[in-house]
Amino acid sequence: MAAEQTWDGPNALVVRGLTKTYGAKTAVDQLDLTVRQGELYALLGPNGAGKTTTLRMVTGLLKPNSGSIAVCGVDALATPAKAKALVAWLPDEPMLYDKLTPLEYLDFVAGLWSVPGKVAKARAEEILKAFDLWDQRNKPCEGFSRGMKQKAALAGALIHDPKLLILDEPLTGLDASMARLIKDMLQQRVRDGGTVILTTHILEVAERLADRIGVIASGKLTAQGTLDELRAVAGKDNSTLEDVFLKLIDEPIAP
Amino acid sequence: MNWLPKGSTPWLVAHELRLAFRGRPTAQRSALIFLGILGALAFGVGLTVAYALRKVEIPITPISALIFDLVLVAVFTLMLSVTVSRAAQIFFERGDLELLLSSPISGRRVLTARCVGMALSASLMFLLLVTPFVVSSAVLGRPEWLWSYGVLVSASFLATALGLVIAMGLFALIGPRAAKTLAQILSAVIGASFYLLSQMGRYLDLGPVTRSPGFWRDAMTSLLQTGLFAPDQPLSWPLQAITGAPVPATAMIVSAFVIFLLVTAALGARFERDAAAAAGVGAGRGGTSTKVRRFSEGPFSAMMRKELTLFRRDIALIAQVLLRLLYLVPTGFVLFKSIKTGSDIAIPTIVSILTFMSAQIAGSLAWIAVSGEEGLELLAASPAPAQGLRRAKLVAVLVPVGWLMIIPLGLIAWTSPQGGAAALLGVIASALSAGLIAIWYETPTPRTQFRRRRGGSWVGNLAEFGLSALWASTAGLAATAWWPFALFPALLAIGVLFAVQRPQKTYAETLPGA
Repeated sequence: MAAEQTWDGPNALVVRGLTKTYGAKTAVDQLDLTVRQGELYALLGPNGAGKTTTLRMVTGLLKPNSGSIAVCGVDALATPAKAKALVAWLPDEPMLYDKLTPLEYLDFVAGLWSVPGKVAKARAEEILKAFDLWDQRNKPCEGFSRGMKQKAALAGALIHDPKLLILDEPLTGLDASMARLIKDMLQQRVRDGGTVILTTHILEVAERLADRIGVIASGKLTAQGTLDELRAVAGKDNSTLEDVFLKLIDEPIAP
Repeated sequence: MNWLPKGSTPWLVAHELRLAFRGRPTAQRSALIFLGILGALAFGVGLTVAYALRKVEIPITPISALIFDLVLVAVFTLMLSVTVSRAAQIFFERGDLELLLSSPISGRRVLTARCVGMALSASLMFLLLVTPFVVSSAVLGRPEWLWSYGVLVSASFLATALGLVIAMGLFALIGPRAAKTLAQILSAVIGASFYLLSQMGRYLDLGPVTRSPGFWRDAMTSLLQTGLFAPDQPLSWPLQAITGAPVPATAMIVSAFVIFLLVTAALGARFERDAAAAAGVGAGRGGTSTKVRRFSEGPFSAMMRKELTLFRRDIALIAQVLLRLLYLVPTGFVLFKSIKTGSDIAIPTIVSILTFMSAQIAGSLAWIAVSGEEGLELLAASPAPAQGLRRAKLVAVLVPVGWLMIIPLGLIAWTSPQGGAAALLGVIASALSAGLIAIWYETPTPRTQFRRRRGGSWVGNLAEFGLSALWASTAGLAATAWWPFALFPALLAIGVLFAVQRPQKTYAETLPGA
């Protein structure tokens, strides 16, 4: 891996030697990963590369076999509750309680993260209005479209103002305007000092949004850095991320 | 199913059956051994009865025909209860419905296949029940008993046709959402109807005549005098059919299938329309409240509020829980009436029943709240401690139990303060125990699978039932003059609670692949 530019600032996430096995299969293999505070980090990799498994371990949903995870300096394995308080996780198929309204859902999530009632109420109004869900706030989620559900789930992830927002394929299945809204929100979040990690198969999204990109294949981080740094690693100057990505995951590049 | 023509009705039926069996929890080895022993015992009993009856000819008389018809009506109501509920679910449990309806296969064919699967599953329990006797009889030289399979299957096809008509009728009359709820309620009432009717004379004071011991005998005699159950009348066909008379048996089976086919053919076109309408339910629905609500403080309050809201919103599910108590209604009436007569056992018996009921309701609600939690990943990702969240669920379960019990408890306390105190303690202890069992034996399962909740740990099921009985005995004894004896079952219940206690997992540990 090519040397990255040195960074002395605070890190939002530091993962060292992370390993997860399922029987004989090693899903994540001695993975090292560092995400800086205030950046948008895109984790790329082919299907089954270990992206989601890695992020699920970071969010405390999976227990690693070995390794360490630190979220904003908090040891996520030794003090999971402290680490979880700083993180929000949005899976690729977000779960909403069908019988709850978006407002009730946000109330519930805010309660789980112990957000004071008045703060949560004000933030819920702000987020729902920003996501154009305010008019739907008292309607049960069961009748929502996929895009509306995705927005409501993302609103839930933001209600406790997480320091680290982790999203697994957040743009899958969304129409252009919805995708744009979410991309703008993510960029705004980073501008406000938050940290965002996302996985995506849409390389154009990573290319346009991400400050740095990590490429994972067969459970190992094969490269990480800015797009230019990745180009240098892949020996593909002036290439698109797609060419660089295919090179880095060691797949044949189409002529 | 590869050999069946693709897209044909039999192919679709095979698909339905495959899904029905794949949906069931995988049997564990211990469960298989238990089922094996149960099967062997059933065949032992079946063989004994078949041997004893091998030379007995069932007389085709009006009285035997009437008795058998009553049995068949009881079986039919139970089948109808299943089919009404399943017919309503056809529209709401989407599963592969959209895939099937978007294919070139006609909606009518999809409906027919789904209904055949429904009919077969409605008759399955009864087929299994009679199999030890029927097969043993056939082996011992009485193959005519095999016709009983035909009678049962035809009854289930008839019940399916009627269930479909009822569900779609409700759908047309009151709309999809209300139809789903009402169908669930109707299903439970139909299931209990035969029992409730049979007990009617005991709890409805219809005048001196119903209290007369000879009332029901006289009623049956009047029925027999109508001549409708004579051997040459259609009402004697069911009995003739199971005893091997080919003409009545064939007539019953053929007519049931014809009615089934006519109904599915007639409703096939409507099915596509109704299924599409049901898919849109919710989208256009009005809000639940227009005011901006107060937000919860902390995980405990948030979880409690969430569970209570979900209980309140899922009327169909809660109806399923509460309607199980229908069977206790006649007993309750009789006992409350007997208080008037000053019976010594009335209050303790009511206290016991109330305690048992509260355990049943709390156990069901706790299963819904704990095992039926839909947001496991959200809870696992949150910093809130799992133990505290589960405690909040338990409190949320106790709230509706308290509301349900408050009136009966008040009535008992008004009649007998000691009984009231015993009932209060019994209700609290049994509900808490049932809730704790639900927490210790949590098995994440979709809420829609509530009917299969007994498919979890058999230790948990046994403990829940045993504790309900022990607390019922405790409360019952505490309401008598020998109240110190209540300590024995109470201590035993506490001992059981300690014995079956299990460490609680974190939510992350309950996730698949953890």
